Amino acid sequence: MKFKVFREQLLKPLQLVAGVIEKRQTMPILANVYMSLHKDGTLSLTGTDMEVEMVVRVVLDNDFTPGEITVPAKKLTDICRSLPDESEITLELKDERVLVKSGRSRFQLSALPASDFPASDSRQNEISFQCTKHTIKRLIEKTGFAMAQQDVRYYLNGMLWEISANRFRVVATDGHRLALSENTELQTGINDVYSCIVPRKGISELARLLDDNEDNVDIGIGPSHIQVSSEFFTFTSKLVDGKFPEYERVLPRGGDKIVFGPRAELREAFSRAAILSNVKYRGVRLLLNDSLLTITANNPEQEEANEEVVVDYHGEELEIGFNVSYLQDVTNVLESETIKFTLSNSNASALIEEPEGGDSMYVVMPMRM
Amino acid sequence: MSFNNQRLVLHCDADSFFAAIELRDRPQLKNLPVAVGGRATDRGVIATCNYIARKFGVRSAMSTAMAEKLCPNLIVLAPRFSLYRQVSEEMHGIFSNYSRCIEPIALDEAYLELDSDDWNICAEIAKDIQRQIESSLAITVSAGLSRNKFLAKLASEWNKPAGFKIIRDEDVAQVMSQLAVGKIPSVGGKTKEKLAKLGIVTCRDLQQQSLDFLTQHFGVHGQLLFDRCRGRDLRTVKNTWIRKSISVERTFSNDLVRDDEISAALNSLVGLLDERWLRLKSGYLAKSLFVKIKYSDFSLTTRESAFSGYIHSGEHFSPQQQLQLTSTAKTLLTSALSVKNASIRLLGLGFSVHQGDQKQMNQTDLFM
Repeated sequence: MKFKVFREQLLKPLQLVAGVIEKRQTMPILANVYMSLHKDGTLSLTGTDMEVEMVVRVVLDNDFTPGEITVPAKKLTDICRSLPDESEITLELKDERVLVKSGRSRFQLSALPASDFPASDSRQNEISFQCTKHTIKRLIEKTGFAMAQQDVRYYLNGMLWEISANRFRVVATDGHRLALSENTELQTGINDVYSCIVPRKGISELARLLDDNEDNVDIGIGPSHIQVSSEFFTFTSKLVDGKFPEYERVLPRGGDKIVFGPRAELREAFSRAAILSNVKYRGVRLLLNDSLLTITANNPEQEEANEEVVVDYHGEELEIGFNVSYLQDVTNVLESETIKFTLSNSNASALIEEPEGGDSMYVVMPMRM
Repeated sequence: MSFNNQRLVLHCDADSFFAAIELRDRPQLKNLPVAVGGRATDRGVIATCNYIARKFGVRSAMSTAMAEKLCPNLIVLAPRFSLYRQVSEEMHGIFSNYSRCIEPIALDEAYLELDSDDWNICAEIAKDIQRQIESSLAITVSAGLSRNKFLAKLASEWNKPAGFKIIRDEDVAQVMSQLAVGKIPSVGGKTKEKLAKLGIVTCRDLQQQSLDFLTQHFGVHGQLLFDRCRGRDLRTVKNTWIRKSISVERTFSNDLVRDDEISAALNSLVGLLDERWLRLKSGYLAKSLFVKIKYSDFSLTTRESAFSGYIHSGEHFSPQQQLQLTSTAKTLLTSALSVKNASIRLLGLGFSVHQGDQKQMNQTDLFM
C-alpha cells in the first residue's frame, strides 16, 4: 500500500476516527486505525472500541497502490497534526512497518496486520430513513447535555430516539432533569413508533461527525445497533439494551404559575448566582413575586449572592429551589428572546420552553429546601 | 515549633480493651491466656487478647483457629459489643471532664487536646485520667503526651500496659533518631520494603533524605514521611467524630457459592443496613453505596457506586429506595464477581455518608 495526500485531507478524518479509540484498550490492535485503500482510490479509515465504530472515507486522485494495514492512531494523528499546513504526506507500507514521509521528516510506525482488525459484522436493519445532518445535529445539541453519566440506571446513560411517520423525537434525562426535542417536518415512511437508546459515547462521536449541512444521511436501526452513513462516513454504534423510563408521565401538566422572563438576563443572573452556590450541590433559591424573580445562593462559607430579574408574572408568591447548573444548561440552549416557565409548587417539576412551545421542552426537578 | 499549635495532645489507649472488660467480670481467668473473638468453628477472628496470650504470639485480627494453634490453652470468649460500647462511653465521659476537644478513634482510643501548654500540668491531667478510669471502670489505659498526634500516639505505645510517657520538644530529636520507619503510621509492609531497598531503616536514615527525593519515590506520601521522621504532624485534634461511612457485614460459616445464596445474603444485608441507618441519629446523607467482598482465600475487594437521589439517616428506606439499593448492590456484586468469581467468605454492605446540613437543599428525582 502506498499513497500521497495533503495534510488537510488526512487530518480531519483521522481526528474523527481517533476520537472513537479509547485511551486504554483490551486488545493492542484497538489502539490502531485500520486503513484500507481500494482500487478506485477510496481510502477508508476505521476506528473502533467495539461499541462505537467510525469509518471515514477520503478519495485520492494521485498515484497510489491499493492495500490495507493498521497503525497506531494517536501517533499518526499527532504526526499529521504537527506537520506544517498543506504539507504533502506520503504513506507507504514497507516490511511490516509504515513509512510516513513529508518534506524532510520521516517516521516509521509499527503496524499490525489488517486481518487482525475486528471486522464489523454486517447487521440487518429493522427500519431505515433519511434526514439531514443538520436535523440530527440540532436534536443532539438541544438535549445531549441532559444525558446521565455513569448512572447505575444504565439506560439513562444515552439518548432515546423515537421515530414515527413524520416525527423524529429525542429525549435525554439523568433523573433530575429531562430534555426533549423533536423534528416534525420529515417523512420517514415508518408506520409505527420505533424507539431505541443510543449510548452516550455514540451520541458524542456522532455529534463530532455532523455539521449544519443540509445533505441527507441514511439512518438504519436494528435490534442492537444503529448506523448513520453518508458518502464520506459510516458511523455504527451498539444500542443500550434497556427500557427507557416512561418520560411522558413526568412531563408536567397543569402548572398554574406561568412566568415569562428575558432569557439572556436570566442566563447571566444564574451564572453569577452560581458562583456563591454550594460547589457540590449547586442549589439556588428562586423567589417569585409579582413581576420580580429573586435568585439567592448560599454556600457553606456563609457567603451569599442575590440577583433580581424583572419578569412577567402575576400570581401568588412561590419559593422554589433548583440546581443552578440545570437552569444554566436550559437557558444556554433555548434560543428565543423570552422564555416561559410553568410551575405549580415548590415540590413539583418546572417546565421551561420557548413562549410558543418551539421544538424543545425541558423539565427540571426542584431541590427540596 | 509552629506557633499555632501551642496546646499539647494526649493520646489514650485502653489496654486490650475487650479482654480487659471480660477479665474484670471474670477475675478467675486473670492469670490465663484469654482472648475475645469468634469461635474457630465459625471461622471467627480474635478481636483482642490479654498480655499473657500475646506472649504466645496471639494477635488481634488473627483467625481464632490460628490463635488456638499457637496457644492451645487459649480461652476464647464471645464478644459483648453492647457492653464494650457502654464502657467506652463511660471512658469518653471521663475524658470530657479534662478536655473539650476529643477525637475518638475507636471504642478504646482517643486523642485529647489539652487546654494547657504546661508539661507538668498536662502530665498531672494524664495521670488523673488514668487513675480515674482504673478506679471507676477497673480497666487500665496507656497514655502518651506530646506536641502532636503522631508523637502522642508514639508515646502511649511506649510502655503498655498502663504506661505513661511524655515526649517533650527537646526529646523529639533523640526519640526520632532511634525509631524504626515501621512505627510511622501508614508505613506498612510495602512502603517499608521500598524504603529498605533504598537503604532506609530508621527515621534517622529517613531524615537524611531530601523532600524532593521522597516525593519522587513516594508521591504525596513523601511529604508525610518527610514530616513524620522529624516528629512533625500538623493534623489537629478534631472535636467531633465525623462519620465517613456506615456498614454492616456478615462472615458466613459456609462459603457462599450459589447465586441464590448470594442473593439472599445481599437481601438480608440490605435489611440490616436499614436497621443501622434508622438507628443512626438524624443528619446523615448517604452519597454512595459500597459492597465489600472477602473471598475464601481472604482476598478483599470493594465496589462503590454513587446513586442519584438522597437517603436520609434516621428513617427507614422507602420501598423504592429498598429496590434501588438492592439492585445497585447486585450490580456492584456482579461487577466484582466478573473480575474474580470465587466462593465468598464475607459480604459487607454500606454507605459512604456526609453530614447533612440542615440548610442543605436536596435534589428530587423525576422517576421516584
